[in-house]
Amino acid sequence: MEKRTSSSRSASSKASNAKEAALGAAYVCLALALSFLESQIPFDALVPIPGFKLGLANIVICTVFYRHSAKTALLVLICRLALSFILFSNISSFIFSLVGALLSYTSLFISKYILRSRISFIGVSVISAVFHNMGQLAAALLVTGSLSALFYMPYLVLAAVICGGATGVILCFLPRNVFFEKELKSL
Amino acid sequence: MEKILPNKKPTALDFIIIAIFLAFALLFIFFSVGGESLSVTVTSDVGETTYPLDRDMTLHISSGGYNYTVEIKDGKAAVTEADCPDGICKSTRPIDRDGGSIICVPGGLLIKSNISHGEAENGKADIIIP
Amino acid sequence: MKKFISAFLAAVVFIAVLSSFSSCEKNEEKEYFDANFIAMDTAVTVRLARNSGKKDGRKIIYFDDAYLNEIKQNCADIAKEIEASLSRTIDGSIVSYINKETDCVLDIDGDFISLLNESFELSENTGGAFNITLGTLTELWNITGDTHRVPSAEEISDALSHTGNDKITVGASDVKKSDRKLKIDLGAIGKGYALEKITEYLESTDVLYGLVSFGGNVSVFGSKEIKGTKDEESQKYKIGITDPLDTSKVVGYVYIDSGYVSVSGDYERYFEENGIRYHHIFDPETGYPADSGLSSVAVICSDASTADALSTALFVMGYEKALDFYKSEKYDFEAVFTKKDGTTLLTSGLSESGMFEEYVEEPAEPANTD
Repeated sequence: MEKRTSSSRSASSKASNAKEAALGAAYVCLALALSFLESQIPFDALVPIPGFKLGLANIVICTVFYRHSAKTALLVLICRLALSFILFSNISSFIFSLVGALLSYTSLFISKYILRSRISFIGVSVISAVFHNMGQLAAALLVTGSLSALFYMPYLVLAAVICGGATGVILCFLPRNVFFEKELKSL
Repeated sequence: MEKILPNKKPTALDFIIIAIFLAFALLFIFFSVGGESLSVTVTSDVGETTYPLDRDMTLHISSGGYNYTVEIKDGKAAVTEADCPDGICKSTRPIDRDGGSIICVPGGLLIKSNISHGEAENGKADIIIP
Repeated sequence: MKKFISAFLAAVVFIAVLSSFSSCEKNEEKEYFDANFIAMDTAVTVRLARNSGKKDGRKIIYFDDAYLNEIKQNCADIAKEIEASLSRTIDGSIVSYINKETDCVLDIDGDFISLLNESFELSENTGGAFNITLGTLTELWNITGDTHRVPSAEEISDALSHTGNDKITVGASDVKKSDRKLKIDLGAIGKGYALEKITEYLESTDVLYGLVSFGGNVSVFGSKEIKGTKDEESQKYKIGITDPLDTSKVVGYVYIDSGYVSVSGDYERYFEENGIRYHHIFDPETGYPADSGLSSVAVICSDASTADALSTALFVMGYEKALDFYKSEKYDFEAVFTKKDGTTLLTSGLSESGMFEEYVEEPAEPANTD
């Protein structure tokens, strides 16, 4: 998405701006819906790890990051978290998710520009999941002011590998077309 | 600009990354389960602190206007010196791996073992009435 | 691709199983936040559930230590406040005023008057086995003091002469003594009373569930449903009762989901002389430590002060009379009796409900396998 000054905007570029905005909104909604769905699954009974989640919304973020731009992905991420907060009014969950999501977003740069095609989406997803959980852990350490949360570290890493792996597998199954903008029409 | 995309199929690097994370996590787990902490928690005016029983140390604690010397040695914790009026804390049996507690009421000092009764661990009792 | 997926899934399952085994024990330990403090001459332990439950139907969040510590501090404050009025030894306490050589004390706090009335009612209903007028006896024997000696028979009968419910009257806000030397001792009900206030406070906080152990009295509050298992038993609290004959063991466990458990025994406070143990629970008739054939009594009741008082009363009564008292249904409670020979007996309601589990010695095996 290139920058254009408002005076030089033609009708078609205004339309494409609107299209982009709509697309962005669609991504945000998809991420939101996925995160809501996965929150309905009662993991708490099975897994005693606080903050255990599948991270399905990450599928959306990764897709946007590779298909569009880093900036777009960041926007989608932030909007999704903000909406989540507005809808569910949960400050601590918002803070934890924010820190985790931002850290996981950072790892995407490493995955895309450094590791490039040496890894598949599984690797991308696992790395971003681990970073996400470590971010949440760091937030927990800061919030509680005690080191007792460190106890969960290895389990969070394990959970991240498992869930990140699952999410990555799903990403691998996405048709390559999805990541090429122009070809979207042929879907 | 050429499109940068990850590999279509899982790569060797994927496995290496996963293996590294797993190894890290599992190592952490095995190393912390190995050391069952025998410790005592000392509660005084100042607050609560936990000390391990496997490291010898001498603690000087002031509480309620009295001064105490607590010695942790050979896996046991005992009050060796105290200027409180009744001195019961000095004569209380030292806390060892079987548990126990030392109380000095005048100074508000409480030393409690963090080892539950064997039954509590195995039977997972919520609490045992002493 | 398919071969890879199945291998990957197999690995995932394997790792999940592994990690759940190793995380199992450690996570159980972290269920509660433990805090201790001293009040009324005893160590008080407050166990608060760490998790704060679901917020808006979403995630489980854990309380941080600072918040839970504050709650513990509030409990300690409540205990100290009650101790300040009920203690025999603290200057300025209501009890110390009553115990002076006076015949009348006025302007007494309403809560205290209710406690007195409740105590006298309990005393009457237990046929005097529970008695709060034994202050002179407590002072004479001085079980918790430094020096220990067995008082002479004359000293005991002299002290006994200044005990008795008939020598004291409780008014709307005053207390009158017809015997100036009479002293009250709320030791057998005070901790239960304090525990009740602490538990009420804890129920008003955000803590989901927990227990408080206050020198021989245990209370549970809140509900364990959050644990998520459907198994009935895990909704109940498992409370161990120390074996009076071997304090490193338990006689068994009581399962309750609410209420209080109170234990009175001859192993808590005592001194020994010439091979005889002199403990702190007196028989109001003889003036000597009660010798009823029981080593300890645990009472389970929905009211804290009743549980505390009854545990003392039943201990004094002995097993036979205690059973009669139980059948009289003056109070709704259950009890576990441990006799001096080590046998454990239950009230019929308790044995029928299956709420009591006797502890069976297991063949020695390593407690923690790595």
